[in-house]
Amino acid sequence: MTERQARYRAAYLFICPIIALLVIFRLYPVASAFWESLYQLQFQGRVMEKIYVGLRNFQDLWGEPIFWKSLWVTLKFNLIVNPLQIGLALILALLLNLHKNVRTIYMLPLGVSLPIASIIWRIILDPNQGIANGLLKLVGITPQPFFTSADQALWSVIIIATWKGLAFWMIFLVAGLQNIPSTCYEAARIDGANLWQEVVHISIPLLRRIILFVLVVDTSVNFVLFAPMYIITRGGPTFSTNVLMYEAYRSGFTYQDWGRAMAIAIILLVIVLVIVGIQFKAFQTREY
Amino acid sequence: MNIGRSKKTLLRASWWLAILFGLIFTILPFVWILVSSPRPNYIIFRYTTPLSWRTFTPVPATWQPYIAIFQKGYGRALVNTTFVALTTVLCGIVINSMAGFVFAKLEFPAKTFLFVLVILTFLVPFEATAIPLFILIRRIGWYDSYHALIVPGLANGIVVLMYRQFFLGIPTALMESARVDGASWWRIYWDIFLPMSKPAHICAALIIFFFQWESFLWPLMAAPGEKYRVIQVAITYLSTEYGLLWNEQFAAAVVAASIPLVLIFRFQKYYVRGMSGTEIKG
Repeated sequence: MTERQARYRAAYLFICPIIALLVIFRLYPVASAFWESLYQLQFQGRVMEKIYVGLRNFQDLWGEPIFWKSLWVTLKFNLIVNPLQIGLALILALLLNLHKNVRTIYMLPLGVSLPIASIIWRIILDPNQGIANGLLKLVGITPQPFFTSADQALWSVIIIATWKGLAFWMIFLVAGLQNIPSTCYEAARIDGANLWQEVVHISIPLLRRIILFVLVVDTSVNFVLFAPMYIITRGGPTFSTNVLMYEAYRSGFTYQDWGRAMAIAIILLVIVLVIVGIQFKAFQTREY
Repeated sequence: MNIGRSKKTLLRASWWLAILFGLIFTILPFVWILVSSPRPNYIIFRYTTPLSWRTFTPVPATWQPYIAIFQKGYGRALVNTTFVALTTVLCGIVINSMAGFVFAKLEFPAKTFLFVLVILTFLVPFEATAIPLFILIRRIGWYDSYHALIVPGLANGIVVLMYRQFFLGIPTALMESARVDGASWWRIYWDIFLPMSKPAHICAALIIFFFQWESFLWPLMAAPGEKYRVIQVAITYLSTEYGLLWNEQFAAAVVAASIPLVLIFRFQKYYVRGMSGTEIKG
């Protein structure tokens, strides 16, 4: 065996496990989902019974107000939560770039999972006994309904997602800020730039790629956000928090309508893949 | 000059105000949960509106909520989660670091293609493929089992990227001289690269551990039964079945969050460096 053959053999043997795992547990399910969304699916124990129905699962979705409402809620949620989170994370990163200890305190929610954050915030935002209303009362604001109102429920979910996610995105942005050579700032200072001009003309342009990166990753994560809806709102009130991921879950696990669940999962997946595509483009320009 | 100084004071004041507001938003839940978890429920309810110093004073305190959650099967969930997380960490470190080694140090046909495949799977969130994956798991008979929880979480794109990044920093000359001395590729990987990569192992262990410790949707789908129930699913059951027992939910949250919190602050340096390094230079 030549040296080159030995190297090829070693390389393939070494990546064999991970490629096998990815193909079986990530690629195959996705590929099969495209195929199986064309069937009516029903579990009889372990065995799945399939009846070919063509595009009917998708046609049914097309005619359902609940589906359109869920799609709209998902889009609306993402249009608000992603710019909000990244914007706040950027502000925090700029404010705390040089304050490591304060930053550490902000990182506390990193250790709290989303389900736990949901449970905690459900209680904090409880309309009758929660401390959020206690705090509002203290400063003279009338108590708010939060999750029990169709107008506020989605915003309350946004609060949870932001509380939990802020520090994570801040880490990336701070790392980016610290990679900016200090000579850039020194040059600007010699030219008489003030703090605001430094931020607008140096920090943000040089962070552009990282901002784009975190924005797109954040978006793909938030498109499949599930725990707050499952734990707190169950999609309500009046479907105001009924995101596609929750609708897909409910379709399969509550109503056993797996064909419909697969069809929704496909739609969600296509949206996520488009986002990932954009992300990948952004990635490639970064010289792999 | 005077104007400049007052402007600076204003800037500093608004800086502190912004920080303070953010800190209250971030910390208040922690403080309240921590002090309320050992209190009887009627006491918690009594002091919530309006807020006062009594809201944040843990008297009277009792162990009862902490004992109660363990009587409701929380201990089993803790053991399950720890087992699942540690097994995934151990196997995951080997599998992902092998791939990272290959992508960093070996040239071979189809390398770019396979690397793109790994990155793509890391960019698509796990939850997005959960429903089709569930159908697969149920058909192969893994429903409600440890393998359903462990095996799909082993391959982790971000960990591969992190290892690749780390290995790129180890000089290739070291590897080549070992090769000339007749060492096999496995020896080079196992005896030279792995022992040199402690920071990468710590970062990988944290990422994988967190992934399993915090995962919710997948265990809820694939292993909801009491025997295999993990901590995030167990705490959700507590919250939906005993919604009014706030102190027990708080106690459960304190227990479940304390382990990642301790880890993240003990190993913050490695975590932050590994995560951000992967993204920026990846």
